[in-house]
Amino acid sequence: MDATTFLQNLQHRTQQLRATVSTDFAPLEPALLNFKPGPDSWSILECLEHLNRYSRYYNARLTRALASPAARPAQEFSYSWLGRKSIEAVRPENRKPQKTLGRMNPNHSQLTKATVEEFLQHQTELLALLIQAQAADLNRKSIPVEFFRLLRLSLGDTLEFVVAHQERHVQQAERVRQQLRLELSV
Amino acid sequence: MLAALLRQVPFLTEEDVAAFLPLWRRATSLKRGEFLIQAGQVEHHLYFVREGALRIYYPSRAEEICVGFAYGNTLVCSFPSFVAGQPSEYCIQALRKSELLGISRADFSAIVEARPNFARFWRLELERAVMGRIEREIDLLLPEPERRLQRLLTRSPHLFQLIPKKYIASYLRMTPETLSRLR
Repeated sequence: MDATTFLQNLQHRTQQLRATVSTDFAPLEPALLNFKPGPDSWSILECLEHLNRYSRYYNARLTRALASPAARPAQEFSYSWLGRKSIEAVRPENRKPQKTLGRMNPNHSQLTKATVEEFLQHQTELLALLIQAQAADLNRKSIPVEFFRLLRLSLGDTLEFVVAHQERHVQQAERVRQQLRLELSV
Repeated sequence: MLAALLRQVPFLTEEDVAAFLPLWRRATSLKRGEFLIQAGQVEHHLYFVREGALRIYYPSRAEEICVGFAYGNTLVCSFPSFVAGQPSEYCIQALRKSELLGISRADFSAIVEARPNFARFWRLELERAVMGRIEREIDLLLPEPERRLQRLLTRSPHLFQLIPKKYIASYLRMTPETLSRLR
C-alpha cells in the first residue's frame, strides 16, 4: 500500500488514542483508576502501564532506527510475514486473550496518575516518529522483537504493531471505565 | 471507592457525599460460601460490594436458581426485605471472599427524605433496576438458549470474567454443558 497513506492513518489513530486517554481517563481520581474488575483483571492504570512498558522499548528502538536515514524513502509498504502475525495477535477485534509476558504484566501494581502522563508523553513521541518515518524506508527490517531479539520487524510493521496494541488495551480500559459506576442489583 | 463513585454522580455535592458516607456503618466480611442473607431472614441493610462476588438465588426444592449477581461497585439487597421489612425469599451467597459495607433502612430513608439530591439518586437507580428486570424477564420468555446467551453477552460481558460458569448457566436457565457448547 501507499506509504504516505499508511503513516497518515497511524497518525490519526495515535491522535485518537491521545484524545481518548486525556478526556476519559486523566480526570478520574486514583481510586477509580486503580479499580480492578476482578483479581486477575487489569485496572485502567495497569492497562496504561502495560502499554508504557512496550513504548519504553519500541519508541527507543524506533528513534534509533529513524536516526540513520535511508538512502531513499520507499513509496510502497508491505507487511512482513512476522509483522502481519504480530499485528493480527494484538488487533482490538481479535477477542482471543493473549498471554502476557511476566515482565510486561503490571498486575497488582499500585500505580499513580504519573502513568497517565507517561502514556500521553509516549504518544507525543510516537507522533514525532511517524512524521520522521515519512523520510524512511518502512520495509527495512531493523527492529528486534522485544521478547525474541533474534527476530526483526520492519519499521512499518513496528509502527502499526505499537498503534494496534495500544488500541487494544485502551479499549480494554474503556470497558473498565464502564464499570466505574454504582449498579443496583435486586 | 464508594466515595469516589458517589463523587462521579454529577448532581451530588461534596456536602451530600460527606453527609452520606458516615451512614455506611456496617462493614461485613464473608468467606466463600457464607451468606449475606438466607431465605426467611429479614435484612434491613443495603450493601455496597467493595470487593468479591455474590450470587442471588431462589432455593427451590429441585435446584438453586440464580436470579442475579453482585460484584465490585454493586449495590445489593434483598429488595422486599430492605424496602418492606418482609422475610427474604432469595438467598445471597458469597462466591469468593467478599467485603461489603452496609447502610440501614432507617438511615437511608432519612437521608432520602432530607436531601432531594439523594431522592433523585435513588429514583434513577430504581429506574435502572426496573429496566434491568424487564430486560431479564424478556430473557426468560425466549425459548432459544442462544438468544438468551447473546442478550447477556451484550448487556453484561464482564460477568463472564467474574462469575463461575455454572452459575451463569443457571441464570440463563440452561445446563453448564449447553453453555459450554454455545461458547
